[in-house]
Amino acid sequence: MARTRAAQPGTQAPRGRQLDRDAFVGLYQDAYRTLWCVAAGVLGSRNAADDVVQDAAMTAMERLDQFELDSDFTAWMAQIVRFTALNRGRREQVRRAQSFESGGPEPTDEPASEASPVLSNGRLRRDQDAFDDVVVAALDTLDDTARACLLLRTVMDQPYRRIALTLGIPEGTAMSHVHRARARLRTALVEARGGVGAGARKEGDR
Amino acid sequence: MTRGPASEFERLLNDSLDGSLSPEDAAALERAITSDPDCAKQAEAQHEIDERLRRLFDPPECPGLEAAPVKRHLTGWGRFVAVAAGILLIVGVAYISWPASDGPGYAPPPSAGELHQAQLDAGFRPLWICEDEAEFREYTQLRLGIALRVEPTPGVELVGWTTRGGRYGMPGEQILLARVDGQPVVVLVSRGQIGPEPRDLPSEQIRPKRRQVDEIVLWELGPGESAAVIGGFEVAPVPESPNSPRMPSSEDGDEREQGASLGGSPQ
Repeated sequence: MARTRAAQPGTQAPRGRQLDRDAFVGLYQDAYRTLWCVAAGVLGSRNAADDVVQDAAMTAMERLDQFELDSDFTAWMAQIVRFTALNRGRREQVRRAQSFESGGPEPTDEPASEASPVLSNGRLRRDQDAFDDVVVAALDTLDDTARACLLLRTVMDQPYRRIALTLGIPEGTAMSHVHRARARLRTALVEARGGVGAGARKEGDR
Repeated sequence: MTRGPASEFERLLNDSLDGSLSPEDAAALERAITSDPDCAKQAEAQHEIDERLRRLFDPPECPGLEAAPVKRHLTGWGRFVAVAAGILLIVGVAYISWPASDGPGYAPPPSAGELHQAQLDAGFRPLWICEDEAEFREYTQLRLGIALRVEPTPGVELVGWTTRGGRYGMPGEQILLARVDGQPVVVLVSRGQIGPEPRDLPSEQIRPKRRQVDEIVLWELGPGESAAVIGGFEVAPVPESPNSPRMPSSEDGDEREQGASLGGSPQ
């Protein structure tokens, strides 16, 4: 059986010595799933998250001397992941715009493969499931920080204090992001099901 | 200031999801759900949403430690061409059989034979193919931090790149699949002095050959006595490109405003 270790968010770097490459690898492995959620949150899709985290790790390895041993490794890496994901998103926007201006093909809506639940543009297939479709569309309406907060809370079951530390935001802000995101997704789902009622008002109406 | 019924229900629902619901509030939430169809609908929708999010965004294990199939998304790689478009069988055999580690979360490197065999077991299929020298240069610059090129050699075919099955599956440690006179050859490409040094020689058929180019350490794992692939490696210049990945800089004003820093966050 493969020897893997459950992710331990917020792993502290070893004290008393410089963070070397092997120590980095161990911490990176521990933090990987959290970092992946940050990447997926910023990107708004899961498909490029692997690449973003790996690219961010490469960046980090070149800057190990900038890591302060008393600081939180996951938070440090999450910042790099976020930068990397944002840069990737910007590049992708430019690429799509250039493709459109040059008369090239539109951003892909074709499935990457018959079996894949994701499109070649990294988004989930719209026809995968009507319910998934609504969830993904509602996620698209959130900002990247809110998406990351929601994924870290819902998928990783992390406490708000940990989410706040990872993303460099106040704890109350992390909670507020999650609560608003939940409300928005609920509203979208209930409306999509035609069940708009007193309990399905938009969050701003409350 | 008092909360309206909808706002109060939302607080109860969030407290429930966050595990901070008091017994009194739990009873109140239960009453709201049983007595108000809209509340019931909201609660049901919330649980379904959470379930879907967990399924749709279930994070994978760290590459290099998992044995699960993955599919890589490659559109962000510009001119790179994905040929392994379907679900790939990922190398897990080597990891599964690894002996005890020298620390928590660490795994010793696979042997040369194990790593070579693992690639064959996975169908000797790459995750990325570079169609020309420019793509090869771009790939190595991005993944290894140093742009490389390979001098074409008769009898040597570069099949493509993968990251799975290596020592850690880490960035900075890539695996190039090649064929020499039709025979599969695995090249470990690592930046830094450590390098994924094969720890033993379990097979007479697989003979590791080492070469270093700048900071790049190359291990060629193949049957030949002498290196056929790594001899052609050399550092290549990288032309500036506006779309090239870049490091965060002080020009990222929106990030700077949020206090982001690469210098570490206070604990």
